[in-house]
Amino acid sequence: MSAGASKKVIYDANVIIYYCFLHEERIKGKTVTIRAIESTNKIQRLTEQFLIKGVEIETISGVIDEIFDKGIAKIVDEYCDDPRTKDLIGIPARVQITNRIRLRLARKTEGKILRLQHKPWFTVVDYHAKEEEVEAVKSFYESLRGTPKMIEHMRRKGTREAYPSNVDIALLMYSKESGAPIVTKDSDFTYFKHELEQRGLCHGILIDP
Amino acid sequence: MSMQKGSEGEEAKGNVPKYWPILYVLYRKKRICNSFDIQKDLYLAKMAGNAPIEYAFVDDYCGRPCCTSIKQDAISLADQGYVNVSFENEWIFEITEEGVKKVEDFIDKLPVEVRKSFDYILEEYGSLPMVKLRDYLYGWHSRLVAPEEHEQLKRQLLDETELLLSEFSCAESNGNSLFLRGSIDYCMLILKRENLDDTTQKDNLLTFVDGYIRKILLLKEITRGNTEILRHICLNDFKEDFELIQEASMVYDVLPALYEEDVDLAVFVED
Repeated sequence: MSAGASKKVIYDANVIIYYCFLHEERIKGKTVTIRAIESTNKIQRLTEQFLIKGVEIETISGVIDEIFDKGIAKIVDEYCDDPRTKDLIGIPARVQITNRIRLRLARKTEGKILRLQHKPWFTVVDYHAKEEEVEAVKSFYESLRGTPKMIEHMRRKGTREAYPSNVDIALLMYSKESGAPIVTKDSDFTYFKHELEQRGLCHGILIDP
Repeated sequence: MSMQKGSEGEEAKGNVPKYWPILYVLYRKKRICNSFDIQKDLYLAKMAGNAPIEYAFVDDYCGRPCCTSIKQDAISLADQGYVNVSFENEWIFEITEEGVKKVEDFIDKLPVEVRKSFDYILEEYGSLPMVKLRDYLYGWHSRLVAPEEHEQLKRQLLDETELLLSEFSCAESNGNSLFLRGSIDYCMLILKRENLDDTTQKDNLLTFVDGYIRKILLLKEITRGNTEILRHICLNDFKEDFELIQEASMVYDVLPALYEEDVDLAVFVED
């Protein structure tokens, strides 16, 4: 599925956070751009392309809750623990970036996500998947347990659960219902893109380039 | 809700509802950020302006006169359509058109001298930072604390913040644990940087930090360090308290607020 084929796309939690994780900070008089090293630029460019083509961007309320619950903290911590970040801001590799700086970055990201929700091209839909649909998706993932692909996926992800979170399942269901693809980097989706699309468990998976 | 029951009764008798000063202060200011600011305005109107306000104030864990019913009633006024309530680091209250109409309904029932006195208080003290008001009006000047007592408290707080920081650092990272870690860490830097000569300011700042740390210690005790429980707790009141600590730190020129836009991050790095 190409980026411009649909009039609407659905963003998952990480894609939204990466889009908003772009800050300018002054450090010892020097202005430094803070962004998720491999992802922010890509999703910024992709979003620009969507907007030029008049594609609307949506997500579901569960995703926004997940972002504020765990998502931002996880990405801020990953960013601050990345040795390349310390290089960028000029602190020695052995020194930890303090919790107060992490909180400041998290707060700035929260602010941007709150403002994003007021953009006319971005909509948060109050959507909840039906219990039987959730079970159907879980059964699908469970059916892959023991296959080399699932074994590899679970090993990489370091999880014992074969299926994704309820919010991710709701995202699949919303994609199916709304006829819009999910833009994602989440391996729960990208690893099984072909199977999910073939089984009709979502409208489509658009792997964040 | 008890507020509504009582208020309906009073209104039926032709009196103004108990929550009238909340709506009145919002009518005058239109928008108030931080629930403690509403409490502050009502406290001053009652104590310094002799306004007939039914809310009773007690000192909170930071030594601030507070009345949690005011915050609860202000939030409940949203259900009646008189106020818009939201939260972004602190509670934000805005009067609605319905609220304006409501005030205009009862404003004539208020004696002119009450309105005048209330307006004077709002004009005189309404925009002053909470920490300054506390200096001038709450009589803390008279509370003499020996310098060594402050130093003892600082040492104790530093030990406690270090302990809390190490405990919360072991917790799984989520929005709440990151907020607690970051705010404790900021308080720790305040304690290390603070070198105030003015004992009132020093006392204020240490009291705010002490109150905040006590509250987090209680939270830790209640949750027994279970991060899964901690994740689901609403920390809005903690966030408001942290705003006040940042404000005090900024007003007393100890550290800029952590969330301040135009600040060099080097200021938050320890030497």
